[in-house]
Amino acid sequence: MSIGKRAGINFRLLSASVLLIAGVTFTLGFIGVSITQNFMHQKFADRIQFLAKYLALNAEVGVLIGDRAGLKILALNLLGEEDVARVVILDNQNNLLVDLDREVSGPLSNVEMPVVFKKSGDENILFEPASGISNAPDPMKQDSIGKVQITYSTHGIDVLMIKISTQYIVAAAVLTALAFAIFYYISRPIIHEMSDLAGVARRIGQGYSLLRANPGRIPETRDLAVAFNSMLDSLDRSKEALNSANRKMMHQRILAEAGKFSLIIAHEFKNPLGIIKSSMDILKKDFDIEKDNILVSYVEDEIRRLNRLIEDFLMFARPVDPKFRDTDLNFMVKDICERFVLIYPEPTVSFNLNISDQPFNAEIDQDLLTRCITNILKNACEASGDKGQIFVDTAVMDGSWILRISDEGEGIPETELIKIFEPFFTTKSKGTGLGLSFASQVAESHGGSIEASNHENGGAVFEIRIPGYNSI
Amino acid sequence: MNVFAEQSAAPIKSAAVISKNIKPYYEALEGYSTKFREIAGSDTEIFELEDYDKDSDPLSGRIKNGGFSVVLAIGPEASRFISSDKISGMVKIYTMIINTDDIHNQAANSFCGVSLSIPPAEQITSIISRISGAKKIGILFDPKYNELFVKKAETEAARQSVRIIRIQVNTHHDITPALENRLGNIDVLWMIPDQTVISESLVPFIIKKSIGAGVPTVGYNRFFLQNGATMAFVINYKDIGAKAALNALKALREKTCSWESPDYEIINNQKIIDMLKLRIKSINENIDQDVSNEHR
Repeated sequence: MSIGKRAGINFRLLSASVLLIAGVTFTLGFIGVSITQNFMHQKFADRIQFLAKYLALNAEVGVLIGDRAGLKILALNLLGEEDVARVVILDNQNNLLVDLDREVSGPLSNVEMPVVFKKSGDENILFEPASGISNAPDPMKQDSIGKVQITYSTHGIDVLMIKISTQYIVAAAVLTALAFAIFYYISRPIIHEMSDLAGVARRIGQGYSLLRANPGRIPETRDLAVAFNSMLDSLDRSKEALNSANRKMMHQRILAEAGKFSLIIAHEFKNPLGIIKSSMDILKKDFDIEKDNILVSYVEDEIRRLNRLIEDFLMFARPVDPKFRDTDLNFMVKDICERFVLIYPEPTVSFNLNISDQPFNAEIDQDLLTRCITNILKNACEASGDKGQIFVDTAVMDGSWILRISDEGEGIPETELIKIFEPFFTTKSKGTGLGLSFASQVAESHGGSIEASNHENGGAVFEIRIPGYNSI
Repeated sequence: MNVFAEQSAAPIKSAAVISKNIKPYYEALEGYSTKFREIAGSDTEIFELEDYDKDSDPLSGRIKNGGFSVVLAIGPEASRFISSDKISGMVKIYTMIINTDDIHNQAANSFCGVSLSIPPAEQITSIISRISGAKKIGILFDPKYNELFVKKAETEAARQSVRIIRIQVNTHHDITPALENRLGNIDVLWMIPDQTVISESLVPFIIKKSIGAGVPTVGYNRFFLQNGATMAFVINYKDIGAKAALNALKALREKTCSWESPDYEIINNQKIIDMLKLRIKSINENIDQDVSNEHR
């Protein structure tokens, strides 16, 4: 695997930034140094050109009259200038008038300048012969009467350019390092937070679905983390909904199967039971069996229990088909509780009612909902045993009517909380496991819900929620 | 008052041909045209030789067919041009030329005007009358160009009981040794127009050398004064032009004309005089005041 594929974003960003900054800095520097070098060489050449021009100007008389001594003084003066290595003065016949040099290191360049005969001014032109009049050669008409050559060294410039280049390279390196440091300082928290995010994602992938990303301090990564967390929450919700849908489907399938089975069993049992009951009645009559005969009473009790069981099966198996009517739910609950007090009189359990006097009307099937609430109250009473209180509270929230039934029993184990509404799930020795399942069916058939939880002080809490319309 | 207006109904037409576009020529032209207008009452038509091709027939034709009574040549080139046979049937006046002989040889008929050359006799007289003790006058010259002038000067000097010391040079290279040999043997260095000796850069050098030897220098225009000459004969170019106009009108009127010398003034350079501790006779002004002592 190549390093490019293995390199992280931090390394890539830092490399890119360093390469870019270094590239730009060095390119600009190279251009700058080149421009400076050209400029300095040009300026230097201009200076030497100026010196050559100056020498040529001053050498005019010396060249004209062949004054080598005077020209030598001029050349010596120029040779005193820094970087000048050699001064040569020639006449127009290329005869050497002056040739002076000195030891100068470095590469050498040459500048040549003609020694020009100065043109006469207006007043002197008058006294010159007319052009073309004289046939004699006229040296005065020649523009160039000789030339000066200056050889100079660019060693000084080269040394200076090396110094400038070195300083520039150092400056560029420092700038690059500084850019690296700044970029590292800026990118590190971003990368760190992204790494954290990646770590969280990895751990979530490993199964820690409840983990959430730390939002961090940088707005962008914070937004990313929040979005990531929202996505996870959304996924959780979707997963929960999917699970719930699956559970419901399973539940429906079980219910359907159980219903079919229950119907078959109920019908298959109901006739024999009817025959057994009738036969028992005939036997009691024919053999004049006493009413308090314990064995007969056992048989009759068991027949009744079996009959009740079959009735429960049939009740559960038949599809719920509510007949809705406008009903005051608060009034209905009060009525159910008052009836229940008669069944479970104190000191067995005491009912603590907190039911609103304000009516809350909704379209419900009173029989189904009464049976649903009765099942829960019965469970609460059985869970309380011979002591404790049953709390019945109603409330209205978000347009829904809420009935909360709490007991002071031992509560429901956490592992069983999600199973208690499943059909045939029971913790009782003689329970069918269909009461709460039926209650759940009824709540759902009214567009509502039923939930079970544990009170923090102990005891189970059942909450029925029925959507209604505005209370009067 | 227009003198000629009474004699002739038609105005006299005058043309002027200028050799080069330089200030002294235009000063001469201004002097000529002003004087000509003042007397003859007509303007002068100007032709610049540099605007036409060499040996320009169109210019010859324009002058010949222009109905001019008089044509003035300013400078040697213009003088050579009008001296040819192509231009005829009018009075020809020449001015602002040093060496008249070259032109004279070409001029078919009358050859007159105002020259730039101050007669050597006048110059010698002025030198010895002004610079005390000037007995030996050195002339730096190239015989190729000025042998004739020097001979005239020698003759005139002898007449005035002074000596001309020849400082002959054949090339520029001879100048330094010639000066070094002769400067100690002369009282004054007289500089004359000479191709070998005179140039914008040599004149300051020669004057410097001369001053170094304590010898005063005499030049022939302001340039010499500006470069340290003790004295100079400075010609007034406007006056030359005016003189040429009078000459032309005289030629028209009398059918005859002559050569005349230019008017000039002698200007001293007081700073140099003081520096060389010279005794100058009848000095009324110095270079700073720029006024002549003697105006002819």
